[in-house]
Amino acid sequence: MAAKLLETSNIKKYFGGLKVLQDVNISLDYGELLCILGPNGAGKTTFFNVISGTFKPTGGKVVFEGKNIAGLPIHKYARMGIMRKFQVPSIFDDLSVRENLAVAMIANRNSAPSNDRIMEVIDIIGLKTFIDTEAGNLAHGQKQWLEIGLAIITDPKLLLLDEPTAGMTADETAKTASLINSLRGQYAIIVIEHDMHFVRALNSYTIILHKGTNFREGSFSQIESDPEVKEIYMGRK
Amino acid sequence: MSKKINRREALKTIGAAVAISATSFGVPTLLKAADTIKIGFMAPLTGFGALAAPYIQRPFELAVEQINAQGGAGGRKLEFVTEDTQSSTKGTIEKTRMLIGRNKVDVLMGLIYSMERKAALTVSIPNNKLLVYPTFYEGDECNRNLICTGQIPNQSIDKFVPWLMQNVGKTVYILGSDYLWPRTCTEHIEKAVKASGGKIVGVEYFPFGTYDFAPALLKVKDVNPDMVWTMVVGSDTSTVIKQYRSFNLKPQLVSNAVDEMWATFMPKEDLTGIISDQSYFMTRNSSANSVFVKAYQDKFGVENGLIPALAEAMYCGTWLYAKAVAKAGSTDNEKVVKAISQIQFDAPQGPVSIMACNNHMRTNSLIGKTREDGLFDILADQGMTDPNIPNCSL
Amino acid sequence: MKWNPIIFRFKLPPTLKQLVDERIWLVAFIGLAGLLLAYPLWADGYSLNLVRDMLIFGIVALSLDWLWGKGGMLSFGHAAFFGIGAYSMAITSINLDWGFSSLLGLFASVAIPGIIALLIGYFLIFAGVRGAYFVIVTLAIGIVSQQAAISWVSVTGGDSGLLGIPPLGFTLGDHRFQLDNSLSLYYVVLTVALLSLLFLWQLSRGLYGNLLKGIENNEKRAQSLGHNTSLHLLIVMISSAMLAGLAGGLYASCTGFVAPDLLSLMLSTEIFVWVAVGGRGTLLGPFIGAFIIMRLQQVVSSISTGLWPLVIGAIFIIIVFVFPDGILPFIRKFVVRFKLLFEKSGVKHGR
Repeated sequence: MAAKLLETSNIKKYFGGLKVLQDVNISLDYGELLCILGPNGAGKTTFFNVISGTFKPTGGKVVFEGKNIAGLPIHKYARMGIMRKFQVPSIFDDLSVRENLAVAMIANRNSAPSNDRIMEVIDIIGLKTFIDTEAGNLAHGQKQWLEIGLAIITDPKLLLLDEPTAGMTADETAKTASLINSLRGQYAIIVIEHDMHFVRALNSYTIILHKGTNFREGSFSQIESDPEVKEIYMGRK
Repeated sequence: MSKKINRREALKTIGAAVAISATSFGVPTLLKAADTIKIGFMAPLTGFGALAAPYIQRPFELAVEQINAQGGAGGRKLEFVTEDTQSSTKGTIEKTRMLIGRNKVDVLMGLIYSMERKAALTVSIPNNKLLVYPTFYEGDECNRNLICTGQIPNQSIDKFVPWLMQNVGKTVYILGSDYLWPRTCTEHIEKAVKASGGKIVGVEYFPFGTYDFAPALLKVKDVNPDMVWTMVVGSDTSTVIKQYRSFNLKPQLVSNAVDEMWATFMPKEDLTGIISDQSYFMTRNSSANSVFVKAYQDKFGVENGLIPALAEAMYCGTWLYAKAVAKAGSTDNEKVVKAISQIQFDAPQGPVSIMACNNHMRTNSLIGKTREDGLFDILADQGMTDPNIPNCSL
Repeated sequence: MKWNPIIFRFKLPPTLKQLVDERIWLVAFIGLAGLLLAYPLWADGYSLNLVRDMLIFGIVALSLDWLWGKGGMLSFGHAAFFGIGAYSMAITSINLDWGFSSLLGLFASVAIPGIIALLIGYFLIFAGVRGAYFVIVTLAIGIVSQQAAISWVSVTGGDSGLLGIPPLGFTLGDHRFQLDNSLSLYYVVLTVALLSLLFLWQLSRGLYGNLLKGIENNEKRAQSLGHNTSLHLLIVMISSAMLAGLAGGLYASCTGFVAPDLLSLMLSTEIFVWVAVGGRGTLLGPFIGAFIIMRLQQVVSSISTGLWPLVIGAIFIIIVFVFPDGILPFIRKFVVRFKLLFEKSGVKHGR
């Protein structure tokens, strides 16, 4: 069997006595889209921090393209092709949209940078009229898209999107969903969310994370109809 | 310091600064009028030397005023530019360069510390400018372009030691700051003490900033010499003397560094009774001195009227230069240097002159004992002593 | 890390604002360079030496601006690198009796600060020391190096420093080639100043400048994009220290002395003030700041020998109030506003 793109086995992360993650297992193929859903405090962001190198796991393995990568420095993760979008927009405020993308592009050692590629990405993220705008002056939704742009311009193998619709209007959320759908197949993508409606729009394989473990997984329609999942969400919301 | 800063002066300074910096960049200095003599005066006006600086600035200004009142030097009035060395090598070099290069002065005067003197000489010697330096120091300079008017070690020691051997005792314990001047003096003291049949029973040097002299003072107590000779300088002086007093040590304190200035920065009762050798004490009894002290205190007020040997030496230096220019009929370096060893000045310390072979001044060797008011009772007025710099023949 | 020349080769199409900025910078640069190149035509030897020293301090200010304005790391002990460069030059060329010792000294004045920056920078930057902590640690480095210069008397000459440093030159056979006249020294220093200024400007106007600005904005983002940000910052710090050291070496051989005030906290503060007054991140501004402040200092300290530190302080406060971003950005803003005004009125007349 060919190696998967990403496999995690029994990921644990403890902060002192606080066991945030216990035995999280996922497996992802090239080009596959995966949603991780869970209420606030389920450990979604911590899990992202582990697979993007910000935290070293307390236990378990993160295997990317057949190699255990837990504990490498952050910039090495990026160079292997793991690119992350943070929950709060994280971009270079003083640089223009174009410069932001250029700085991201030169981080990629595998292909030569070109102005055409920058324009292509600007097109994809829909910021054509804001090319020379300083990123700090963009609207909230536009910042989120720019950050997705920063991720995809490096030609990653795996895109990690941490609550890409946080703080967005309904309109912007819909636009973001179609943006992600358009990227489907080109990159493996993991989206973490707590918003059911957005995940419904993506309609992909979904894992429910609850109290730091895989609670349920399956297609979105299976998950949606699960009474226990409903309870978790109803109980909380 | 008693100098008050008034608002008008501050504003005037800012205004002038802006105006001058806007206009004077690179504009050649106007040629000086040929009938004046331009003196570049330097002192550590800011930084650690700021407290001592007035003691050369005031006598210098007094001398210039007196010389000009008498019609100047050889008919030419003196004018001067004062610059701040900032008590640093960098400041001294920059200001010396400026005085020579921009102000085109005829002669340089002032400076207190050896560091300043050495720094200024690196600029003044290549530019062939005369420097008149007032401070007592280790006595190793031998240059035609440098006139020194302070005591060098042999002048404060050669006559002082025999007197001490006769009047105080035979055994000496030396305490000094760890640098060149105390070390050079110690060599002289050792020689002189041996020649008078006395004995050095201990020598100790301390790094600058020492705050605990107890270990050394305990040793002194053990050895119990006839006298303790201190050459601890700077702010450490008050530390060592205070601790000496608090140990209630019996040996007579003697020094060749203590002068009237010290009473301004430490308790007078701690100073009382120290025996010191200087080229000048302001209590010296002579008509030249009473005229000098009166003129000084009339000009600067009694509250600024303290005159240590350093101040008197600056006064001598300024006068000697003026007289030399008058004799030479020129400010040309060579001519002035030749003339300066042929004249005499009736100074407050006595009749002084410059020795031709090393350009240092023959100074008096006065022995004084500190009184309760910080001034000195003069115990002996030993007369002029030649400065002796081995292997120097200019 | 692989050498990645793409950063230096790849160009983005400039925006209008950048074009205006670059034009202002170039005009200012050419104007200043022209003035300085022609200055010896009417200056006397003393003024020439004075401007030469100012240029040397301008280079130090430039090196701090490279670190602080471009790299985003404020060093409050930058005089340490300058002073170590100066002492390296002095100690090498005084103690080594060899035809090329002053050239070796100049090499040491670049290399030794570089190595020290490498060691310090490695432990600081890779440990994630940034911002105020970096300022404090560099401040401490400045104090330590000054203490070393004062107390290591046998090597550094202690408080009075070292005097009599030979001028730059070398001996070949029986001939000694030596830079000891004001004019040639002036042009050597001016050349170094202009070249380093142009080089750093060229380096930072492209993508590399964007990357450094990006790191300053959001280092975590740059890291997670795959940039080894610590390494980039370390390189900036080393090159800044080397440039400051080179200035130190030039200063020592031009003026012939070194003293502990060359690595004092006072000088570090002054360097900081020059950069702040001239305009942080403008590269050219620090030169202008250094010129203005030093000139004022000289003039004020001659007019009022006792008052000058106060007056300088007052002038500095006024400058900070009038030009909070520094002089060069103020001029830039003024030019841009003037241009806008001009264009607006032009449109009106056209209709």
